[in-house]
Amino acid sequence: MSNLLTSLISTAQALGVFERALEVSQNNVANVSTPGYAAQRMLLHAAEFDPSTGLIGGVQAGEIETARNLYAEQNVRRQCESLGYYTELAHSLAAVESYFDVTGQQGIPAALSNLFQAFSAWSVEPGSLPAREQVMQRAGELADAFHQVAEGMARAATDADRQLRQTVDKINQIGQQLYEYNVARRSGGMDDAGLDTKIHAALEELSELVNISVLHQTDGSVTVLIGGQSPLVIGASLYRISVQFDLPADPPPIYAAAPAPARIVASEGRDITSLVNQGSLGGLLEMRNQVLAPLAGDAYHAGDLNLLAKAVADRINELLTNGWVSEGPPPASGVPLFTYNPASDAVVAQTLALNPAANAQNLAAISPGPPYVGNGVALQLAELAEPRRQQDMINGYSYAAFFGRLAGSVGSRLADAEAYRAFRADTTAQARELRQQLSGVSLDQEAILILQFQRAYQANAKMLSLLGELTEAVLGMIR
Amino acid sequence: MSGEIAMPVEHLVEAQQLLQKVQALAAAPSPARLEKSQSLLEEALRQMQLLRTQTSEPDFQPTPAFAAAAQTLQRQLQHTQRLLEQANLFFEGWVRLKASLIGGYDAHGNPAPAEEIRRGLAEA
Repeated sequence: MSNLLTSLISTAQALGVFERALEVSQNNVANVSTPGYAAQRMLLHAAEFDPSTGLIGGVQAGEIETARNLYAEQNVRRQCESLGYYTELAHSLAAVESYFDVTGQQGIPAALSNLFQAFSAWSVEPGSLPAREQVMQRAGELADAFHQVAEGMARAATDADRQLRQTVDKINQIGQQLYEYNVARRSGGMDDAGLDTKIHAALEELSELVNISVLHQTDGSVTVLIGGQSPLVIGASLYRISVQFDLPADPPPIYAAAPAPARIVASEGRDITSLVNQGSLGGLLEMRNQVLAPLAGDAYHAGDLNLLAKAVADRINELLTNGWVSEGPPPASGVPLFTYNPASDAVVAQTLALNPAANAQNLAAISPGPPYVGNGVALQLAELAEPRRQQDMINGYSYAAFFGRLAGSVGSRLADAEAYRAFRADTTAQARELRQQLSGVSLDQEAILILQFQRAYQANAKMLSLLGELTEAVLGMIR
Repeated sequence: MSGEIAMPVEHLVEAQQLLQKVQALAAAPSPARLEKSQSLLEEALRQMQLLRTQTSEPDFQPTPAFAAAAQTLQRQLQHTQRLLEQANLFFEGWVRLKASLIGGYDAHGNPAPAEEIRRGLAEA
């Protein structure tokens, strides 16, 4: 009797499994045109047979193919995260790059060059009113050029802030969807392939926005952790994130009147900015906090643009105020050419202006010495174009060269971001293709596929290596 | 490339075009596609060997266009190499994961050795 019962149980179990396999096949046929649908396949394998211990044999649904699907899905998400990051970074950097002209024909480098030429012309004719007026005009143009770049940076920061808010809203919306899918899963949708497809599509969309870790729970729900640590969705609970732009108390801000860095905050109030390093949210944070802030300044960075504006203004003002407008008696001292808000080094570029008290008549050309030189100050100002003294430079670079380095660094970051974006676009397409290739393939077929792939890969890799050597040899001849 | 002798830069351009095709195949890599890309790479290699012969001539003077084409080719090669490596890493990762799913881990935390996996698969 026992044997008969065992046999019946085993048969019933086998039928159940085959019925389930049939459902899976039907689902695959029904969803053949559904975008993102991964064909499901029931893996049938023998269950252990040992009647003495109650193990009745038969077949059971396996888990390896499910694990493979999850692995392929995860691979797609990793590529999407990186693609989202570089797409956003390349897009944001392209908007900023136009303010950093490397040709020297416009913007700050052109304005600097024009001012130094005006100083040079003035040094030839220190008493010439037109030469002095030209200095005033060129100085005003330099201040305007700094404003334009500072305003451009401020606009880029405002755009980044708006996009950060939109991206965070979108992340919370997808989190809400996943929460609803989890509820549906727990309410009997465990084997609903359509729901499965929706969950994977939502996770893929989310991974373009932020780096996530996904854990598939035994009740069918998904746990989503931002940066592998901070929960967004756990079962039937949603933990919304937010973006904040207020100054944190710790560390205390260094520069007054400057914007705060953007921070991503978890629902319980914890700062999780450092966990977000991929997806478009990661790209926006990188742009806002790591590119714009060191360039244009924030509460914790003076900003290289401000450093340059301050160095130029301070040095020109110092030379002019140490000089004389006339010998007198008594001798009349020069006045500063530029003013800026001295309260914060992080706002110099945007507040740089011509000193209202300065005019063509009170520009100090005379260096009282000793030795006394009638056009000494004008000469020293003209030498700023090609400086020889450390006090006329920033970290050993002329003002124009310092700006050139800033422009070069923006251009180089943009070129890198675009190259990585192109590469990640290809690897994302590849990951989707690989997911499709493996979907529904039996483990036996898979083993053959991998073996064939690896053989072909090695042959290709060897060929590419030879090609690389030949190309390197050709490039070696050019260098 | 008819009967006429190609200019050095033409070999580079030909190799670039072949590499573009290889890149498209590598974006959706399957054993069949990789076999196809292998024949394209063989042709690219032949072009580069012809180029090397020409550039070894003492009167060869690289033009800016030649230098730019060589640099583009190098970037394409790196891109293609990384793309193929990415696909290979995917399969390698899955093989390791599958090994750990079937045979567990050894005492050092590495996926189970091949013997364990074969046993596991035989039991399944």
